Amino acid sequence: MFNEKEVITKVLNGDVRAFEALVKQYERLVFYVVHRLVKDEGAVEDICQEVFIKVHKSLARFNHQSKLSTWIARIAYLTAINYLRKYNRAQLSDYPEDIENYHFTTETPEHLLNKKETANYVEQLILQLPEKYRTVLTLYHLNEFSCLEIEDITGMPEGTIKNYLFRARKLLKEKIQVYLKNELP
Amino acid sequence: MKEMSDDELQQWLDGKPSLNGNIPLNDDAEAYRNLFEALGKEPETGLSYNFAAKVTRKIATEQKRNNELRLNIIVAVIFITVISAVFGLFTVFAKVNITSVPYKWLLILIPVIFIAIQYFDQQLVKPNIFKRR
Repeated sequence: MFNEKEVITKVLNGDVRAFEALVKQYERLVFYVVHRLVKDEGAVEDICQEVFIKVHKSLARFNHQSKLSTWIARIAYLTAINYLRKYNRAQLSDYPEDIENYHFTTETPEHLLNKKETANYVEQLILQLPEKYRTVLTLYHLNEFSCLEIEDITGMPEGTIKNYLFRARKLLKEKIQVYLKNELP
Repeated sequence: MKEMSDDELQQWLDGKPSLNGNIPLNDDAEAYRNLFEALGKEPETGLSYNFAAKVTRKIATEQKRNNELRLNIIVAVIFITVISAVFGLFTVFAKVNITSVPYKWLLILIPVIFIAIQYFDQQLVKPNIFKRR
């Protein structure tokens, strides 16, 4: 079993194997965050690598006030945002006031023919949402963080996170309803 | 049964006990159920299978390079100190004028070139060899 405190102590004492175990433990968490934020597939692995190098460099400053997963997720989130700021500003968008009327380019899901592909359709829709909505949905549903933990990770107030979650899910639900109606005979 | 609002449906699927055990059966509930299932589904792609090993190797290489750089700096500081001390002692005790020592620049230059070669070997040559592999 992964013992967080023991692994941290070992890593700080220079144990490379312990750090490898830490990477294995959290690589999926980091990948989910980076993958949802950065659409450039070729850059995702490099960014994940950068995240873990940062984790290694600053692990001595980790003060155990939050869970290690929350702390690593914050580094992943900030690294992905920095990447977008540096290389792809178009993916960073401000809070849209009329998210209910958000325009998706995948308005015709006829190419997705069976119900098994609902998840793929949802994934495509999520990737078109503004970055803050994508982040909140990913951290909450895929990484299973609570709203308070998401507040720690992103710095957004808890109320805003709940609001983003509600509005994004309502919007996606409406899209799914249309999709299911078109798809079912 | 009373129709549930979006907020109530989302709370129900989040597992919050707002509905007293009632299971909603309508289009909205079905769509939300599909959505929550899809939102929790892991992406089909992932990191390479040896990602952890790659990261660890990169960190180990960086650490080695930093240690070598630190060592080079220490060697350079020691060298400068020794040279200064030797010249100082010569001047004070042997009453020799430093400017009159033959090949003095060669004596200084040889160790400087040696340290510079070591430094550039670590900084430029070795990393490029690893990149090519």
